[in-house]
Amino acid sequence: MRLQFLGIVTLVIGSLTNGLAAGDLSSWSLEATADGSYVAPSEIKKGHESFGSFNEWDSTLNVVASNQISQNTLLRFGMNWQRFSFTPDPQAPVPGSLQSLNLEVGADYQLTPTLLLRVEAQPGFYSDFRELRQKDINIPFVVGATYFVSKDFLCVLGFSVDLNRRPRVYPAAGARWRISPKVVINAILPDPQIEYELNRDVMLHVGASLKNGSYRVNDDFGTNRGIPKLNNSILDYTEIRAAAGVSWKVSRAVSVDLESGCVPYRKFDFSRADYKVTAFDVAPFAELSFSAKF
Amino acid sequence: MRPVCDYFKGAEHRGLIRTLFALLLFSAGSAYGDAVSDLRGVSVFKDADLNRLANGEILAQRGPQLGLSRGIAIESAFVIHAPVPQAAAGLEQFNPARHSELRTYLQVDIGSSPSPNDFQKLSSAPNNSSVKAFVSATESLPGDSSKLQLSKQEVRLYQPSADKANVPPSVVAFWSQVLTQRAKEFLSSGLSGLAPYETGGSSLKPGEELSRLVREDGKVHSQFSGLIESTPLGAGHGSLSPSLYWTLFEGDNEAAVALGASYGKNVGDGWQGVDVQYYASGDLNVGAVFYQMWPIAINGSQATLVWRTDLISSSSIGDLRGVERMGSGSALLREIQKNVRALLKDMPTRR
Repeated sequence: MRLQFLGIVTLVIGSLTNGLAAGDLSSWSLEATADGSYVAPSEIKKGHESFGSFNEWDSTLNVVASNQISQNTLLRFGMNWQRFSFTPDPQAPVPGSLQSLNLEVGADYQLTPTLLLRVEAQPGFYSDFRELRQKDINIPFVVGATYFVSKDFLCVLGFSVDLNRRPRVYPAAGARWRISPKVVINAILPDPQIEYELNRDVMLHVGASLKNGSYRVNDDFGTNRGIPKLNNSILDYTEIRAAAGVSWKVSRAVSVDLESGCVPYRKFDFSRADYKVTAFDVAPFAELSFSAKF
Repeated sequence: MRPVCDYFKGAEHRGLIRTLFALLLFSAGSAYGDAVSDLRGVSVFKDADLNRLANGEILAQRGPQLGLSRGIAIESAFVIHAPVPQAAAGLEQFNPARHSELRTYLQVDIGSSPSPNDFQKLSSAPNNSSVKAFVSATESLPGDSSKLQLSKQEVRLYQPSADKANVPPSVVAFWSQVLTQRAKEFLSSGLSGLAPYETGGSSLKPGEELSRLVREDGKVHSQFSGLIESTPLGAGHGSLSPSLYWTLFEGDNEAAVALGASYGKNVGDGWQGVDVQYYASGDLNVGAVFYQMWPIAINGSQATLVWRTDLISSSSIGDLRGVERMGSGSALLREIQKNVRALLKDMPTRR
């Protein structure tokens, strides 16, 4: 009998992490991430009209607890805070910050042995945080399915719904393909990238990153900038990054990621007010992030 | 004596023919029913459809949740189009090294009295990045020895040398010593004789780990209790003689060596077997794969219904959290299906 399950196991799950967790299995788990990045100055324009340049600081804190309540169901509860902080000229139609403080409530469900489904709502405040108002509350949600074609290839299909955003529904599809023991093509938004596993603890990656969200600005935002129609309007913010970086697994539970690259595209789109400004300058950036799983 | 064929001549015997066919069909249906009922009873496949299995479907699903954080159980079921004795023999002779997609580089039998000579084929390992990483990790000993899952005593056995080769003689000599010693311990004392090793900063006792894995899957423990008692999974050496082997396989970016022992016996008109992997230098800690074979009839031909359960302990599994853990089970069962497909290719089927 030559069953050879050693390779199976190590290839499937060994690549994700290593180390020995002692003791019994807990139905609870906790994941936390924190990151911060700086984007160098970039000019912002509406058509050919310039509104000067601005820097960007971006930071995120995210904590999610999961509880496996049955063989096939995992409940998720968490909290997320994200802040984009900008330094625009006073007259530029760009807020000083865009922030979200929201819960993450959802579930992962195993529909079939090889098909996983995630449903997650993200109720919270999405605004420039000049003040917190009831109308700043929004409940975007995501639905996604992951299908395991094989150990080395999985497909993802899903959509996100945000009633403030234009378009309200974003479909998404992607795939993750391990093309060799060391190389993975991770073509899944918001962070599609090619990963090269240098060794068990260090992974190099190159790819792109999409950040976006919808936020409500304050009642005086437009008036203060001479564009009254922007008062209390919804701002769809989109940012695309191209980056290369390195991830280091410090311990079984903790990883650090450092990446750098450029931000070639940022858009502040007040779609309901039919007004948008963009930054096409290729601005360099650097980001440091920490993640932990317990 | 009238030839048997004479019974089928003439209209007066048509009723007899119909009766004989009915008896044949009834007996075939009965075999189907019993085996698939047994499968449904003991496995997670409560809706198993024998027609689909007979047509080549390989069922695979996560088994019961184990209490061991490093443990996972995957169950699978499939049909081999050969009688039980042939199916069992095919299983015992299956060598994954013949299937490149399974990424097993070497699989070699070990004699009943293990010696370093049994492991000399390690020098013929392929020249690739995984094997290089394995060699490099060995040559860096005593470095981070826990990544190679060695005891402190074993680490001291390594004698560096300036020899250059894909797998240098010093590396072959070192692993030959380590694996010989561990195989001898297993043969002489069973699971209790297996020395603990360091992994991820902790000490792991492979014997205890295997025992716990098997104990925590109640269905397996119950279904295979007789077999378990006849092997070191029960106590001591067990009464069955093992087929010993070692293997070199693709690990997590790094090849790994492992030791295993296979056992099998006839149970009623079926067969039970278990493959125990009691040491690995890579991410896997230990594992046991149980096979239950039932005889069935498909279109009048003898065939075998197989229920397989993989019980695995891996440090990597212990580190997975939330949906990652759920997803790893999905990915793992896909690999087991691939493994079964390779096994079926090598079977002397009657289709």
